Amino acid sequence: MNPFRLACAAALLFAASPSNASAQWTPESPGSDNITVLGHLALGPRLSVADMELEQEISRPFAYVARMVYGDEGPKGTDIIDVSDPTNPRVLYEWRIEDQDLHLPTGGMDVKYFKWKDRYYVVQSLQFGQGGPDRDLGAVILDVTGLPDPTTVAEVARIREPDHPGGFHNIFIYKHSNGRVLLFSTVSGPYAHVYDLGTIVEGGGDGGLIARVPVPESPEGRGRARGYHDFYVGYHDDTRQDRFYGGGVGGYFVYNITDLDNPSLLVSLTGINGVRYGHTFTPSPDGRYVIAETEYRYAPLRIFDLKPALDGKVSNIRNPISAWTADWRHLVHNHEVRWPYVFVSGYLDGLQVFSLMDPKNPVTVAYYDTYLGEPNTDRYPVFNGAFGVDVRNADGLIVVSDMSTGFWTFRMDGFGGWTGADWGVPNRSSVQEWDAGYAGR
Amino acid sequence: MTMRRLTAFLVLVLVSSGTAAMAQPAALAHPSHPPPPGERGSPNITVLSHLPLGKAGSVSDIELEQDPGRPYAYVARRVDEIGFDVIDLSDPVRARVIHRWRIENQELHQGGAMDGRYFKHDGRYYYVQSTQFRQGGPNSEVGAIVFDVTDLPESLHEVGRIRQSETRGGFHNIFVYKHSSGTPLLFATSGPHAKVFDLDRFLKGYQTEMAAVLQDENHALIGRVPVAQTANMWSRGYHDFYIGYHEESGQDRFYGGGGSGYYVYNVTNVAAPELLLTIVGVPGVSWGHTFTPSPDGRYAVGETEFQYQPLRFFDMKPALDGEVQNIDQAIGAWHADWKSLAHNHEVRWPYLFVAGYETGLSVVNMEDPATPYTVAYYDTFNGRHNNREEAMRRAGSPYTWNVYDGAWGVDVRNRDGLIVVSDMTTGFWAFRMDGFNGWHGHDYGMPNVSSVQNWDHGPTGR
Repeated sequence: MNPFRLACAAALLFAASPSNASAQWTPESPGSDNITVLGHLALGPRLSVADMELEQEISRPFAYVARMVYGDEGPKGTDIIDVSDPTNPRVLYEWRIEDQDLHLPTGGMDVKYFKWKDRYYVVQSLQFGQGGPDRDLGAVILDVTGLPDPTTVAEVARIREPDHPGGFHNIFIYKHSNGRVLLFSTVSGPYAHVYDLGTIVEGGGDGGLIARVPVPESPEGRGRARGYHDFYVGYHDDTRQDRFYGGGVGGYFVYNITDLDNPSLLVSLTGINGVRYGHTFTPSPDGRYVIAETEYRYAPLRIFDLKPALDGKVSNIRNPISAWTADWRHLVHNHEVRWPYVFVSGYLDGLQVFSLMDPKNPVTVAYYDTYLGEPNTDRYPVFNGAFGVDVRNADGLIVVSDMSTGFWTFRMDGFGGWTGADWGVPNRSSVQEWDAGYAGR
Repeated sequence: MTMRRLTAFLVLVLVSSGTAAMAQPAALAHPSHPPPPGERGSPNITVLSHLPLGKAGSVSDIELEQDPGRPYAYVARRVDEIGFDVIDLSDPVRARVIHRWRIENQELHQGGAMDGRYFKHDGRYYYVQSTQFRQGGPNSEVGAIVFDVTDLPESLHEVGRIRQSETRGGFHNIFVYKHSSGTPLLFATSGPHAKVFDLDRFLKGYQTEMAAVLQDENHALIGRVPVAQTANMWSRGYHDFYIGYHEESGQDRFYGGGGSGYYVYNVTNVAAPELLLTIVGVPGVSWGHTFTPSPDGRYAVGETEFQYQPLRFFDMKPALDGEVQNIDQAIGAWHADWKSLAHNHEVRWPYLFVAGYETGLSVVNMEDPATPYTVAYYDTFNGRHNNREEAMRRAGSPYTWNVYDGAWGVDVRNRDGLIVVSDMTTGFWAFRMDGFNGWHGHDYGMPNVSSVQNWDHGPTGR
């Protein structure tokens, strides 16, 4: 062998940077230059933080962080955090399930807030394991109207499902065009449950369950343990429909749920290569594009164009038009769409923001790695780091809940808030108009 | 130790040292696509030859003979040019096509030639070309065509055709294995099995002119390896496989990809395959494709033929030790480009030679299967990636974004380290990788087991 070539090869192997797939975020430079960390609040043991929610009114600067035990220890409940000074977030109140030691993991998972008749409430979804109490408990509802005074926080209801033990893994609250505020929840069955929250907090009704959105039959079945994993519900301006976007067994499904008694399947996304079970699934404000997550390592977020199905040309979509990942070796988790931006809680890769200005070519525009540790060795390797993300439309405040490092607040340069009209799209996001409702616009 | 092996060892030591010093593997970064002019390959890869072979999309798999004095590569051809090309590599920097065999009445056939394997038996050399022809045209029952190539470079001739009328559609992949019984066996994808044909019996059946007409088409079929049944199977059959001798147990082992993942069988008794383990329920793997073990049979590389799927590395020890029956997670993974897909591969431990479709040739070090990393590459394709419009034009379907273009097959000559690649669009390539001048398992503390067969003495004669 030519000694020169040998030297070149050896030098190359020594000098080359790590794999091209390696993340650009490092301990010395965890974030992009256009991201500013405002505040960070450590919340406790490793793997004890789940999802989060941020209230949208500037006069109510409160964030809610679900607490769970995915690792060895942690509380089971909700932390209420004051972000009136985003550079100095502080815990105002800790709601915990009674007799925490008796309750088997996981604990608090998803959390959402709503407003009903001028009062504000938080719904904390719960999942408790077999062998302990409250296996049938899906959610607790807290009245948080009196915040920031923590003594005013009061539990007003619990939602139980004895026939569907195992709790609610994910929830979504939607102000329906009929004026009712609805809680959508995953249950251990081949459907999503729909509850009328107004009825529940007013103490009326029979548990508040008013409808179910089914999981359609697919080659993967309908799901015996849990049909849906996650969902989003939004108003579709062109058709004036309330639409349900669910990810679960077989893939992803879009329903017209304007008539809650008769959910009508509009589009299915099944038979997608590499997708047997859908997870988080969020549409663009106009309902044309969707971002779809699949919860396994190495899976990117896939972007689909629903137009061929919505136009009636096909009934099923199976090919994404593009995909995005922060690091192909990992997995990204939840996301919030503020078109054209998608704010992602990317597990091991922390906060990530990418642009769908050209949906066929997603581009990363900002990032901050809230978790600089290694993949788990005691749990699924990539289930650590940024779990949840939310965005305040009024001023662009970004918040992240990290399973191990806690609560974070950020600003992204040039993003001072979001309204759809600024981007030429309907003003649709996960943020609800509690007072007006969608049909009132 | 020979000089070339000493050199290879030196490079390996350097790499290993670097790995330790940096606390993570030193890895080459594939360039973003398209690569700048002149930067299609890493500096440690030398292009020896390149032969464009014809129309884009007309090239499929490749096979390289191993014996001294037989410098021949076989490149399967499909679409418009249906058959195979024989390439003379007696001077690797001047590769040349010396024969182009084409099926009769090409225009009537719907499909093409796919996989190709050679073997040696009773002092003669043969090449088996798998075919896949759809019904509606001729030869849909033909799975493979066997050629006597002993007299290359002068001539070759067809010996016979392996037909399976009950499971038409041909053989997508094949593997020829010298069994510990001494018999050369052809394993072929066909229906819900890997079918096993005794090539000695097949050849003897063609010793009279009338034999081809009179004989039972199953006369050489001696075994069927099933796909272990699991819930929600994506496919009922196999897509690809590898058969290797497992020195520690003295077993002939079959490593198949298909169904809902990957399957390992003991095929020492070909008539009664024994399931040893499954790798199913792996997130993202609804269907197995290419599946190749390490020389000692502990680790395996699994491909899944979908965009965005990396090559996964599995540790089969817990199942082989009887602790579990199924493996459901990988210990490592590798991608050249996460938006693309890697295809066929050849293991020459610790190296993994990958035909990576749009990313061309890659060489991966899998010494630590939990952290495989790229050590060399050359982009043989160099075309536009994810070209959906081209996929529509060529295939009439947006089923893919055209990630199924570029390097299809790869092979390695153990005696001198010659690397060859068949690219669906750009044709035939021959390479050298610095520091890799041949492969023998013992040089790396491993059994001398690879896809290369010892035709004269069989696996136990190694």
